[in-house]
Amino acid sequence: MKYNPVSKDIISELINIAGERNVLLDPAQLEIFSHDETSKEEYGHMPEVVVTPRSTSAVAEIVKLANRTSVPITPRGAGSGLSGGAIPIFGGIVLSLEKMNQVREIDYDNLTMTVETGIVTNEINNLVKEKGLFYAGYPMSLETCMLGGNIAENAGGGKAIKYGVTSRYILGLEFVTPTGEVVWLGGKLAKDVTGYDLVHLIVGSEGTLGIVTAAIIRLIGLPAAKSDLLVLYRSPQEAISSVPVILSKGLIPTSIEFMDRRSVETSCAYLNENLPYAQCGAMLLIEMDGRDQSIVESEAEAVGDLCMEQGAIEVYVADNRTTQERLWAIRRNIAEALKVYCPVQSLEDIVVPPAAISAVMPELERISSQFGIEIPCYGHAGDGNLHATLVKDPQMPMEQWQRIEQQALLALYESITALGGKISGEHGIGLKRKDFMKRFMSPVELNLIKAIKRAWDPNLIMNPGKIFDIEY
Amino acid sequence: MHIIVLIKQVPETDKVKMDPETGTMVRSGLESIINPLDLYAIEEALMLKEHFGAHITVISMGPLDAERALRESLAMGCDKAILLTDKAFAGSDTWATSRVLAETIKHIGTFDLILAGERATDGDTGQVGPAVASWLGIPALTYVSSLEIESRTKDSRIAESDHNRTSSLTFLVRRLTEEGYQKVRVQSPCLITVVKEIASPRLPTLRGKKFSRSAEISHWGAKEINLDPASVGLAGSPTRVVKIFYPKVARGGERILALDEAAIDKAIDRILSTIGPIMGDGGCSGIHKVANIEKSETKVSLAKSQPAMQESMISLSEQLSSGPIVDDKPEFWIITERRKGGIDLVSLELLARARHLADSRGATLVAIVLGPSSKDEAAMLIAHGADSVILVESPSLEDFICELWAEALFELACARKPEVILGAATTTGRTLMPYLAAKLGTGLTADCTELSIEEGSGLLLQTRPAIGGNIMATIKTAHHRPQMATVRPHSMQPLPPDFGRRGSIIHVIDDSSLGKIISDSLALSVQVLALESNVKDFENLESAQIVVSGGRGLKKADNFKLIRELASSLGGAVGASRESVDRGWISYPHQVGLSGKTISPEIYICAGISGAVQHLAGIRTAKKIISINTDPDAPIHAVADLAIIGDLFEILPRLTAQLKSIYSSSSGSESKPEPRLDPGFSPGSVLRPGSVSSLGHGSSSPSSSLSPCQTKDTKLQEPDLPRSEILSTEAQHEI
Ligand SMILES: Cc1cc2nc3c(=O)[nH]c(=O)nc-3n(C[C@H](O)[C@H](O)[C@H](O)COP(=O)(O)OP(=O)(O)OC[C@H]3O[C@@H](n4cnc5c(N)ncnc54)[C@H](O)[C@@H]3O)c2cc1C
Ligand SMILES: Cc1cc2nc3c(=O)[nH]c(=O)nc-3n(C[C@H](O)[C@H](O)[C@H](O)COP(=O)(O)OP(=O)(O)OC[C@H]3O[C@@H](n4cnc5c(N)ncnc54)[C@H](O)[C@@H]3O)c2cc1C
Repeated sequence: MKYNPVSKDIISELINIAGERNVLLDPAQLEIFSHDETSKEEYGHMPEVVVTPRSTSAVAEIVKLANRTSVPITPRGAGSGLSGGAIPIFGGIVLSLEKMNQVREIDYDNLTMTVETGIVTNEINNLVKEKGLFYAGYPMSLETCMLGGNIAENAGGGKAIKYGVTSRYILGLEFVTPTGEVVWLGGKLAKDVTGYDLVHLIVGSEGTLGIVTAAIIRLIGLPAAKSDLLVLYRSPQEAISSVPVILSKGLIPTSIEFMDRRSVETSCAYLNENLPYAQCGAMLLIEMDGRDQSIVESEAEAVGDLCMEQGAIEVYVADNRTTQERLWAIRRNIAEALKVYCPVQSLEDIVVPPAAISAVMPELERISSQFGIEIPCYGHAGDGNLHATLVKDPQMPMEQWQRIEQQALLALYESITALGGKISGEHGIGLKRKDFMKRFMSPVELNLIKAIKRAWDPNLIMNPGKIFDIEY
Repeated sequence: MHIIVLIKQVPETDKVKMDPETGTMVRSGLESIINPLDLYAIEEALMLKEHFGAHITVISMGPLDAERALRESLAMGCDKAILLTDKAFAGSDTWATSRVLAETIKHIGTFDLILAGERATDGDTGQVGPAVASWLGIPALTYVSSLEIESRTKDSRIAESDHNRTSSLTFLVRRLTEEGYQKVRVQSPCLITVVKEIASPRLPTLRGKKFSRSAEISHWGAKEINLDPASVGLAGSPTRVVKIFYPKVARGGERILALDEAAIDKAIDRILSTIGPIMGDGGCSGIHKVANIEKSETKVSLAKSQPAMQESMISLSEQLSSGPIVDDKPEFWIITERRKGGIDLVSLELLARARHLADSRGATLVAIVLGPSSKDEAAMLIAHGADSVILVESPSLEDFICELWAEALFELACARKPEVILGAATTTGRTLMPYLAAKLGTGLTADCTELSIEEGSGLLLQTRPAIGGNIMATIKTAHHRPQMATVRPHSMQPLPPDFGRRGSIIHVIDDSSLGKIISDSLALSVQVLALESNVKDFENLESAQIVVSGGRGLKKADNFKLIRELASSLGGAVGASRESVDRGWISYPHQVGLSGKTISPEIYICAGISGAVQHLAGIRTAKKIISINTDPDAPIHAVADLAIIGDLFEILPRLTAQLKSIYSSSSGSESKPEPRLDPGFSPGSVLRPGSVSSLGHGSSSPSSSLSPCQTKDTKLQEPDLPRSEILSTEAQHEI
């Protein structure tokens, strides 16, 4: 693919469009935009310029310019992505939406909010909490990630069993096409079959079809009451087999998070958490929510009783934010803790039909022993979405690791495909998984995807090199 | 064994957010939780129960909603809960709160041990515990970091779950003080307030939860404990909050983006030039200069510099019969603290404050010294602003034992009727003063950063931070005497010594009355065993001029060496955020913040700390804050004077190397770099760690020196907080 470099003229045009302060050229500043949460060494690439426009019309002008001059353009939210989606792999322009963070409207009658996509997702909830409202498309990278990134990745998170993923809450989009046209899609509508559902084509498109500048999102009543259980089991199998038992009793937790022994140990050691985790083989973190605290607590008790019946060793209960925070800290710090102890790793995002999840565990064990690497595993057990993490033993030579990693990933993806699963549930394909996607996706589907891409982005300037490779 | 645990329900301060526009606290969405330090008290009680058998009663005074906190303590494993709730209790200050709690405890009957948190995160006075002990006439041991039962083994269970007090138990406790761990033996019954180091709280289990949901919680009001409603709550409270305002916390300092080599160099230069004035004139090269100056300093003998003093001897009983001895001028007292044979710097700071106040009130300023002391020390106090010094020289007062000190001061205060008593907000002051205030039946304001005399009324206006430093409250004690306050250490510089000052020394000698105190002390159940100051990884943060802190950004325990090395190259102390202490990277004595230490160093450098509100609460009165953090949005940068957005792993090693090279390139002396001393006080008699060679203390040894070395900037320094803005003036008191 041939792209043009960002020339002086292009830079001065960018300055004209966005203003001098919104055009970054200083290498030290550009560096931040050269990677996301994937390994900088493995996937990082410097942009030539970063623009931080403040309006949709400026975004459109910038995209037009890129399209006209054949310069690649990569939209970016907070850069918390885990598949390399926001990395400007061909250089060019990074368009960061960080300054497009205005709330345009909160419509309390329709329970919607119209908001620019550079808003930090967490902020949305701070804004509507007081009114007893809640935005439920809410991944666990909660302190940083932005709405635009969530839409582009169709983010899931810790609450998807009950609330579903981001797409459920996206009603409409203000969208800049790769040729620089601005369009509103969808609306404040509960139903809409007027034409193709482009809104939900864009959701999950990883920034390859255009730039979302604003969205109409659905708000729901805030479940003010919460109760969390931390359940200790002897084995992962026991833990996993409690999940269908709970769900079949009509109890719908907000989250059922699974953590295997290695994940728990690493995170607890990292946090200096002194829960008696030594004798346990796996844990579930279960959250119930609702409007009434005492109802929620009694439901949580019922869930706890079921877990005990399934052979749990101990059930801890957290009914206030401090203790809840303590429990969630264990779950949330697994990734960070594993990174500290085993910096070289591959954080996976496999997803299988919920009922197949217990079959994943033996597969992981098999792959782990076959290749002689550890694969700590944790994630959203209720959704069948697990973050199995292949970690390199610090002793293992790098070349050996690189070889084994590829083989082990292949083995992993083969086994989950056989279970009816897919290679990414919520983090996306991005750069990281595009070679594998090609292997596991039917050529027909892949061609349909590419045809859409060509139709929308004739010059292939919009976030090129992601999800799939494509030629003119 | 019967253990009573006092718990308070507080708003979760973790989540406290300040509205940047109005400067007010965003209250919405704040949940109530058990005061975090009280969880440690509960856990300690549960461990004693597990090992020795015990019945645990939990008591909380608060609104109906506080029942949640009590239920949680039951779910953790406590046996019984009592909620003190009554409209009449609303608006209680610590005097009234402790009175209600003490009456309740009397009502319950016998007990062996009362456990409380060291302080609550909202009111943050730390006064309720010692005051309850005072009302009950039992020993108060504060800041306790470990507790053992002497000569008991796991098997010898104590009086299984019945309410009857066991004959007497002996506890061995360690108190975390500024100087180290004080080991104390104490007989039951007693009250102990705990710090976080004592235990790590368990989580409630499903079983516990079920028990707590069905448990009966008694609700008691004033009637149930036979208290006159008028004597409690707002009506019965000696102190009154007269104004609440919001300090502006952002310092709007310089920001440096240090992401490449050149920018890092620039950042390091700016750090060096910020530190420079503290290390000595002329930037960092001044480090050696300081050392040299100190060495060449001429020592003036005491004889030459001693203020003129008139001495008198009186006995306590004489005092009691003859009433106030001086003229009709009101007396303002400060309680002096001594450390290993010298007057502590905090006491001189206190004198500077009190001098100001006494002058505007036309009062006599009296410094009280308890325990054997020397004339030199008295001279020192006079030179620094005291009009007279009262020495109560009984040997039994040598160690700080709260009940003894409070008893002696109580007698003295009854005799002389001081109008104001000030103490330092140290571990000693924050224990002694509430104990004494409860005895004297008067109010006490904690940890003040500003004090002034109200025009017209002549009342003491006491201003203090609360709720993690997010609000400032001005408090008055209008109708009770004396007016008492503790003052935050290092919120003011001592006055330069004036050896021309005249003053009087009053020796209070051992007569029958004091003798009674001493004989009581023999029967007294508290024995100070030792002060462990050389404990591994102990840090005296409170008196360090420079503190270097590390947080979660360090990623692991090993990396704390970066912080330690920088601190040692600056002659400073090592601090830490709560997260890094929680993670076991460093010990609790290093913790800065709401559940750790509140410090006011000249320079605070923090790396890899985001600056959660609780951490900021501990450094609000630091003179200069330098932050190093990769996250440009980290709240710490907003309160920093110098905010470096950059990678600590790149910046710290270079900074340390530069400091070391500057330091070793000249003089070649082996002495450590020292932050410059506050001018004008003698390093011999005033001890502040990090000060120059400590000259031996010996009462009238001529080598005791009062340093004449005065430099240009010996002016009164106002504390940092007057930058605050008055935004609202509603008076408010809350339980
Ligand atoms: C600690 C941690 C926990 C996480 N937990 C979860 C989790 O629970 N669930 C989950 O799903 N993910 C999770 N993630 C992954 C990540 O946070 C999500 O993918 C998130 O949605 C990315 O948002 P971002 O703003 O950081 O996007 P970025 O990383 O900046 O971008 C991601 C992709 O979106 C595109 N993009 C960004 N903004 C726009 C826009 N306005 N228009 C078009 N395209 C755009 C980018 O080009 C890129 O392809 C986690 C990550 C971390 C580090
Ligand atoms: C802004 C502000 C400033 C204030 N300043 C002062 C002041 O300077 N002087 C003063 O006398 N009052 C003051 N008060 C009032 C004071 O906060 C209340 O009296 C409060 O009930 C107890 O004080 P505390 O929160 O400081 O508790 P602390 O003394 O810090 O609490 C220490 C321990 O005592 C126990 N305890 C405390 N309260 C209770 C309770 N209600 N029930 C059971 N156990 C308890 C707990 O174990 C706790 O850990 C102030 C109030 C406000 C709002």
